[in-house]
Amino acid sequence: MTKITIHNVETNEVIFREMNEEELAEWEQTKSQEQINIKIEIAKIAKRDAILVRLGLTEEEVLLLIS
Amino acid sequence: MAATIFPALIPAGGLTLLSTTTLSGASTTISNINQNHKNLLIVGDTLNDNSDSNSFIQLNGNSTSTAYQSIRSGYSYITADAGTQNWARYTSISNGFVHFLAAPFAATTNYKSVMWIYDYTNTTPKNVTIQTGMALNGSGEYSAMNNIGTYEGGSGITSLKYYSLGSILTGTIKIYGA
Repeated sequence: MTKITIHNVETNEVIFREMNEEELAEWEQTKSQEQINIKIEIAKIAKRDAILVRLGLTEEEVLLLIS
Repeated sequence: MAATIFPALIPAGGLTLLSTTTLSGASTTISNINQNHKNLLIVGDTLNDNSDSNSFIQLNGNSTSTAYQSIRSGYSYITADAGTQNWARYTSISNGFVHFLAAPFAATTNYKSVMWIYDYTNTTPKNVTIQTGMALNGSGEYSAMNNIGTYEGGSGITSLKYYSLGSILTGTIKIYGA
């Protein structure tokens, strides 16, 4: 099981417990969504790098061109 | 006279430490945040997780990704030697939770992420967040990230949830009111 911490900063009460079913379902959904976002960003970087290789330009040369 | 986009960052009273929370588990929620200030400064210290820097903040437990809009830019894994061009630069515009960078895999050096939330008690306008952070991975490579974003949750901010896609190893979050 996956544990979570809840800190109520008004009362300073700290609860450390297992996720309930609803929290766990939301957690799994959040994780898969973020993993998709990360994959999209990595794919964009790879595509850009491939274009640079095709053009025979370094990153520094591109920065010079657009500066 | 030009319109003021942001309220004054730090009012005459200065910063007030509202809370210090030790992070643990898959996520840590900081609830019942004091509502008596204008802006919030969130400071994450010694943030380490086991998911290669993939740590985030959700506001008010809102898990709807479209409530968050951000432009982020950063550098992934730059070696300390500037002559070694082993890095990727990126810029993206996306929906998604606020990326709050942590150092992965129990790095020995402490790194911080900081974030401002403007006008956090206001329920009507968008809250603007500015976040910046830096981290070091287990191979001695650095990554850095900057986010500027809005939160469109439609209510003032009373809680935040810090979470890692893996699990939190170490870290504290201090919240200051300004």
